[in-house]
Amino acid sequence: MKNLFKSICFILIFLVLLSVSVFILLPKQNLFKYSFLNFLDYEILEEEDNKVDVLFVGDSLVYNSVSPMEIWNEFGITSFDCSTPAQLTETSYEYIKIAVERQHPKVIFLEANVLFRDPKNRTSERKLKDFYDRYSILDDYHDNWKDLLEYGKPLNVNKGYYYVNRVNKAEVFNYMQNRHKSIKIPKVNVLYFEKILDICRENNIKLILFGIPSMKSWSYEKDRMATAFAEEYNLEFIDLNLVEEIRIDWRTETKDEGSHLNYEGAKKVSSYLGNYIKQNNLVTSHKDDPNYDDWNESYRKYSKQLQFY
Amino acid sequence: MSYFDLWFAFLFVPVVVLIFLLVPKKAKPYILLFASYAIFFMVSNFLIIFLLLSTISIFLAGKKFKKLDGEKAKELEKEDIDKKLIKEKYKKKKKHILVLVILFNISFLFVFKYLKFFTINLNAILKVFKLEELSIISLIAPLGISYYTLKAISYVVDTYNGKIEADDNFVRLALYVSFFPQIMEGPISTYSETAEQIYNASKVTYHNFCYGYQRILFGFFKKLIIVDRLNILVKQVFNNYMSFNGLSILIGIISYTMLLYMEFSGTMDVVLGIGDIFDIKIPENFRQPFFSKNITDFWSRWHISLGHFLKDYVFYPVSLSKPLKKLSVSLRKKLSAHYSSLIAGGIALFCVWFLNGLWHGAGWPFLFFGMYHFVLILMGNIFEPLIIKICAKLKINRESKKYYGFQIVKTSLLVFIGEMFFRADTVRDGLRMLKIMFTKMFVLSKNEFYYFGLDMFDVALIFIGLIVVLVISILKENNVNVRDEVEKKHIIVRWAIYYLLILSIIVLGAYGPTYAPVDPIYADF
Amino acid sequence: MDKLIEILEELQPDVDYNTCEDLVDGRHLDSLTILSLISEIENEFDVEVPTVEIIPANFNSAKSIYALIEKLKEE
Repeated sequence: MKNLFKSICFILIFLVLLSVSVFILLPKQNLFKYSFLNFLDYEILEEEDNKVDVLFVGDSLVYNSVSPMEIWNEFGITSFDCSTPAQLTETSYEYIKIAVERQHPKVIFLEANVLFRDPKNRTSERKLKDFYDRYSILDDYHDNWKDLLEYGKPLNVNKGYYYVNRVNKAEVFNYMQNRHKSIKIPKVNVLYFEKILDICRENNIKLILFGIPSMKSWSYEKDRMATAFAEEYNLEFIDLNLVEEIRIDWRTETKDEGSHLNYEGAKKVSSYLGNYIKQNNLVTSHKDDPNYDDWNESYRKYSKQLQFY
Repeated sequence: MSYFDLWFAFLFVPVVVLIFLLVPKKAKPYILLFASYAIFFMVSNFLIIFLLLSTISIFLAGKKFKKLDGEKAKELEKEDIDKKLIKEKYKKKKKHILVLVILFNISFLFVFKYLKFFTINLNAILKVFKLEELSIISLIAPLGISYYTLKAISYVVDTYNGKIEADDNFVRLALYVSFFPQIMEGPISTYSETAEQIYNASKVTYHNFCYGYQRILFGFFKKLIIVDRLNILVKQVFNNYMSFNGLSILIGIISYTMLLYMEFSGTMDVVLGIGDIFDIKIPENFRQPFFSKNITDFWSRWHISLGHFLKDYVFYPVSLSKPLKKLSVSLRKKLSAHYSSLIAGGIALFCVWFLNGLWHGAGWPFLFFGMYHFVLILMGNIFEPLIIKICAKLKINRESKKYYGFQIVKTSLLVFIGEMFFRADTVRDGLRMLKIMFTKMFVLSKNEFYYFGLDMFDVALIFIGLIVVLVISILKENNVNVRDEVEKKHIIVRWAIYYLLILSIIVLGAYGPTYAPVDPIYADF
Repeated sequence: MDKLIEILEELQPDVDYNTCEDLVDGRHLDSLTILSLISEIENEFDVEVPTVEIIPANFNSAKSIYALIEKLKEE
């Protein structure tokens, strides 16, 4: 009995200490304005208000392929990956809704792949993983102790991007040829897509659809379907799978046999997107603005990471 | 799978403990056996059949030995018989069974682990003679086959020799062979060391539970704070050694040896910690190896259970075999006692180290690793009388602390070089690294230090982690059991230590997106 | 017994064999030395030491080694 009491005390004190450590390690920006879980789900809340001009919204293809820090360094454009694993259109909508409360983005790039993902096909394995991702806070944040010692506060250096430089080459085949697969965009996704459109209209945001290079997740049929869909809503659609300048080398630029790009691939995609934004004069550069020094700070740390791992 | 998987240490083990506590005493061994087979099945699926075949074969062999011994005793009771003849007859019968069972067990080991290496090298020979080459088959081996096969062999040999009585209880034997904490990476305990203990385990006290988890946490500390961090540096150096200077390579190979030690001994901390929970004393596999006087001493402190196995089941049987005995007797007439037994011993040692290398893996670097230690140990023994003489002449006190310090540094350096060949992709890579260390020790290039892949904080943490382990090792070497000391402390101090340990693992551990964890190294052997 | 201690001292002079009780467990004798010891014993006392008997308990002190020799002689 005494031992049981002791064990319970031990665990309670442990939980308190653990919470304190987690609190110390979390970025404090907006921490108290949102519920804790919201804060964890929407990484963009860690950013200072009204500094991000471009959002990239989508699933794992986005956070593996678009590195906002590369775009910042090359073009002085502030952007953020609002992406979560296997994102549904519904989640894209929720994410954008929260994001525009703190930020005034000029452009949102919505990844077309989320439109094809049917919420009804959600496997229980996927749900379990979602659950794990949501509560495994320490996986992502525990290393912040280094930032605390060096900068006095946690820095989000990757801006949503997930840095991986390993190569796991793919069996190359032409995935962009017509294989007559039948695919469709679920009705519920169209519904949420239209809600996203509403938000963009209200906030004067330009919405662009885009497709990200992936041998396993993209196809000719998806390209056709997304093109037609964009035409219907009078939007721009850029399919990066078909862009000559990018031309992914699937033997060296993928981290997992053609599903996702690695850092080498992400550099190409990021550079192309940054250039696209610049050419079309969608947003202005903040490169020399002293208010954006924290972005330069982040970049210094980001580039250090590139040499290290 | 790894013993460092969170679900294993903090979900699977507690659940097993809970069920173990709930069932009546009679059912407890069955629970442990079920848990062991569940882990095995989870990793290796139906390859579990090979574990069962091994267990059944040694069980039957033991029974047969017992039966033959009974028959022998009966026949010996009769009068007017040639006792020697009968003894010989039964010895022969037993020997046939022994050889058969050992071959049966080793054949699985050979097929799963060495067939590929064997065919590759056989093909090289066939090519020379322009013969048709064989196709190479690579198989996934059953979990821990290198460990449980040795346990099985030690059981048959011990029953054959009459060192232990054959077991009539299949569950007890099966549990000895497959006990879940030991199945993946040992220690290779003998039947008399663990079988009874595991079978008779009956309670988990609050004290034992805490005591065991202390050690498990210390294993996690070694793995998450030191090993997975050092891995970054080690990978850098070994994968691009050509672009580093000798000093960096030296740092790299020291780091690799530390990584290996922390990984393996950390795993043993988890293994023995689980044993402690059930009040089962699994034998230690390490005894502060970096305080060794010489290589022989080192191997009595590093992977102790493998050393014991090879000593008891290879070294003595070979060196005391009839042909070798004859040889040393005839040599006695010409040489001193020291050297004459050294030759017989040397041949036995060769077998030991050849097998040690082979056991670690089917590949030339591993065989080289074995031979390297063979040569070092043999040289050590050949020159020992000479060294004693030299020391006496130079008036060096061989008992002094300074001399001990010198021995430790010398032995460690030799060990680092050995482990370098162990890690290198090919023997040639190892030799090249050695060459760089001798020719370009301090040549600086732009790659040094900065490109080790670690930042200032990582380096500091590795040092702090190593110092913690060092302090505990020094205490242990002086027979202070740190866990017992902690227990004597006031509850506030004690809990503060626990919390510090747990939180430092959680916060400072090298896990998450930016780190790649080290796979269990010794599970592949 | 004296003969045995003589042999031991010749092989490894650093130990006091009259008092030492942990020759093997304390690692005063390594396996090669034990091998020499066995061949000396077999030579001197005309016995055969089987591998089964090579366990720490039999070699931890001069006394236990002597007991082993006595036992082997009887067989």
